[in-house]
Amino acid sequence: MSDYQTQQPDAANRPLLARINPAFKLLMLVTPTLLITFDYEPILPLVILLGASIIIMLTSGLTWKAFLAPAKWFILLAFGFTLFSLITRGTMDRPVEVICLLGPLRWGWSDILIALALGMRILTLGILSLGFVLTTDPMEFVISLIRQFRLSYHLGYAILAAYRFLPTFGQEMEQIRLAHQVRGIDQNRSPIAMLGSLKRYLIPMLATAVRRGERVAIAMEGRGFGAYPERTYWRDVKVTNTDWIALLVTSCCCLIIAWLLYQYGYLRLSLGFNLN
Amino acid sequence: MSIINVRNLSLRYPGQQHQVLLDVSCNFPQHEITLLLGPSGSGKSSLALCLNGIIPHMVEAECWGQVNLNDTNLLVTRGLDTALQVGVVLQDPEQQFCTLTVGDEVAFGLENMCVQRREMAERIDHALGLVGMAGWEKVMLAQLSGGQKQKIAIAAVLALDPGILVLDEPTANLDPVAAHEIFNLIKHLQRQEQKTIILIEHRLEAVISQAAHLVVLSEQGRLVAEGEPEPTAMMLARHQLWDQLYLPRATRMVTQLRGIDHLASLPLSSKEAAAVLTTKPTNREAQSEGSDEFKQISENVPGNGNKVNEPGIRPLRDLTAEPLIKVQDLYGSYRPHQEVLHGLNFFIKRGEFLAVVGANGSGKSTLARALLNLLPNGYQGSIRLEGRELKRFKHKELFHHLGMVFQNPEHQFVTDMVENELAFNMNKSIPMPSRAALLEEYLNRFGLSREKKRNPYQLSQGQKRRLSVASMLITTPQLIILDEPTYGQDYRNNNELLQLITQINRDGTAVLVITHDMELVSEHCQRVMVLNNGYLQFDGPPSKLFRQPQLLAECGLQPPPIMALTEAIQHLNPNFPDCTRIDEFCSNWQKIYARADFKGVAADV
Repeated sequence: MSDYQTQQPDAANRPLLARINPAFKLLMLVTPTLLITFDYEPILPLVILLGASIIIMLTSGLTWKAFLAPAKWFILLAFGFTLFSLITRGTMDRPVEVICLLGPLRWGWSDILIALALGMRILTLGILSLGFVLTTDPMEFVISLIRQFRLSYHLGYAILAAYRFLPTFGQEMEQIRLAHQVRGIDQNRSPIAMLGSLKRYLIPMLATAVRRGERVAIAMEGRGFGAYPERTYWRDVKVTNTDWIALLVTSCCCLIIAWLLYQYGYLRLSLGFNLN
Repeated sequence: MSIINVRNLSLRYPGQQHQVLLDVSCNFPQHEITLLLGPSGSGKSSLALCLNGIIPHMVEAECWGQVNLNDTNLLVTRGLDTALQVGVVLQDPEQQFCTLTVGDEVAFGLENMCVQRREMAERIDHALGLVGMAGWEKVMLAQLSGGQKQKIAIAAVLALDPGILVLDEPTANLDPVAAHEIFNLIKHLQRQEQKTIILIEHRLEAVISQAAHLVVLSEQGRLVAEGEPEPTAMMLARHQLWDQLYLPRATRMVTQLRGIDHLASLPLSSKEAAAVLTTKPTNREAQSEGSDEFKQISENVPGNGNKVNEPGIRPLRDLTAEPLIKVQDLYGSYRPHQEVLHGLNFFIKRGEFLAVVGANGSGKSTLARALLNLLPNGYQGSIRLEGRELKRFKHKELFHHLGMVFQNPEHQFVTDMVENELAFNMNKSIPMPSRAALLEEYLNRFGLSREKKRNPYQLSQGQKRRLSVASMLITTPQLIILDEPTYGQDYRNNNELLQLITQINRDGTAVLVITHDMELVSEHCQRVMVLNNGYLQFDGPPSKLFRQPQLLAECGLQPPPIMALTEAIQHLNPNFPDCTRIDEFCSNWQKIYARADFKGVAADV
């Protein structure tokens, strides 16, 4: 999204990753996501993270800066979870071969691996979705869901209209915050105070949302939305051979890597949450 | 020939007691511009939505009567072709878009009609060409200016090639130049493309001379008048139904200066008005003018209420004293390194009435936020309130000195009763009995006594606006900032609000208005600041600004309508002096025409 703000480039001029059919791009994420979700060793996420980052940097046309600016939030999040996991595991009183000590905290090798695995998992899933979001036009995504995944177009356009609203919600909250501030209401940012002021925000925002929803519905209906069971599309979102190849290659790569790691004992799949 | 005719239409929304429309019958002539007029809450928008069957087929409402389009009663059946025949464009284009780029938006209707892709490209091209934006298909909607957005909203409807176009206040909140472009586009669509246009508009200045037909609704949703503009306006004027309408300034001037009873016809353009104002009155006219007409002119200058504000005459308090606010080298931004304001220097005196004007996006609202120290990254440079840097004030303390009324009054409501809303910011140190008295006084003054127990959300548009102003003023701030106070208000609400603001200003509060309304600037403001791309282009009296046509054009501004009338008169009489204000115009006109003519006529008699 961020890279397509001013002008929509012609499909042919776009970098490879931005040219792939959005629905297929979503499918490309399925295999790595499943593997990462159910594996609890840190190696597979790390390999996929590196692989995905290289592919994204080579085929998305994004600059490092444009990619890292949003990615830093996932890095922070992953770091936070790793740290949290380390602390909780460090306080547990279990028979482990202690390899690290910090005050009252004691860690074994397995503790560190598990904490790392958690962080890597979050980071990798974050980077994968970022790669999708940064190279996908929301409009084309919805159209491809409608055309390739048989999503009802009513629902597809409802999603799109809601997506259009999102930034305006932020703007409106800001306006309300300012208006209240001018009336001398303290901007106490503690969670309890926020909860208390929720009602003050909700009522005007709901009022606007209802009005907006009605208006956009009128405007859409006024232009014949829903007149026929099918509709045509100005933008052609097709499935090409490239899409199939990309899907097969990425999915196979992930499976092969997973199989290799499994052979060497670096992959443990589990459907439960028993991490000990 | 009328293409749509409405017969005895009444309408009520579910769950509401009162009817929005009451027994309305009117016609909309083909290939012409019809203006649909009435005060806020008169049911104009509801009637507009009936014209293509959105009411009652999509928006639920109880309807009686008929809305006939080509012998089909739209209240009963709404065929697919109706959407193709009657296109509707609502007020705020931003709220009607359902896609992200210009091309997708214009294609939307065509896609719904299952038009094939090849044909679609041609029709999108044609529609964008009609609004003067060919080749913009790939641009993101979010990148467009307000005026461009409105053009795309119109193009999106035009792509379906409707014969009838219903436009609900298409220029609300656009800067004067953008509004002018939209009106030209509408004119073009009617003249060149043979469209039938039905236009809802509060301000008739630019459009009434283009219209062929008026339909006027009352506050209660009844039809007040219908017909050709001139006789209809004349009829309304004769029956004192003025304040239903924002008639052009030139028309108002003629009726005020000549007296409505003596006019054979009502001029609707500056040119016609100038012709009437520069001809000798007939005997009968002159006689009656001698009696009370002059009194009316001098006491009841239009727009000025009872001569409450005369920038040229009223002396400013403490001219030499320290200014209330002193701004030096002010930079402000929402994001680091993307300055919106570029090194502004100015001051605001105590009790001053000043305006900040400029095209959309020129930095007006940012300036207002900077003056309240409400920018997310603070401001660079210096803003001093009574000599003390703004940053040194605690927010709560600061807002005892400064107040701001935002565009959407609802954002400001923090309680669920009108009376509590006013009491919320009252100074708690005032003893209870006087606090109650003060509350009563404000309720009375702002016409809200009867509503004091109601929820602010249940008030009418005008009342909400008055409440938001009142709740800011009850703390008697030294400066109040008003963001577009006249936006979306009808003539009467607008006048009432302006009178209140003027009153406040006379009581000593400095007023800063952000506005696109040039008449408000010329009539009420002592000073005007022009922003252009974040730079202060002009700072001085309005009369001086409005004499610089080039600067006005550069900054997306237009002179107030009284100047167009002056120009039209100067065309007939080159000796007529320049006027930028209404009272100035009146006194000049009296000097040159009324007195001379009057004496002449009197001698004859």
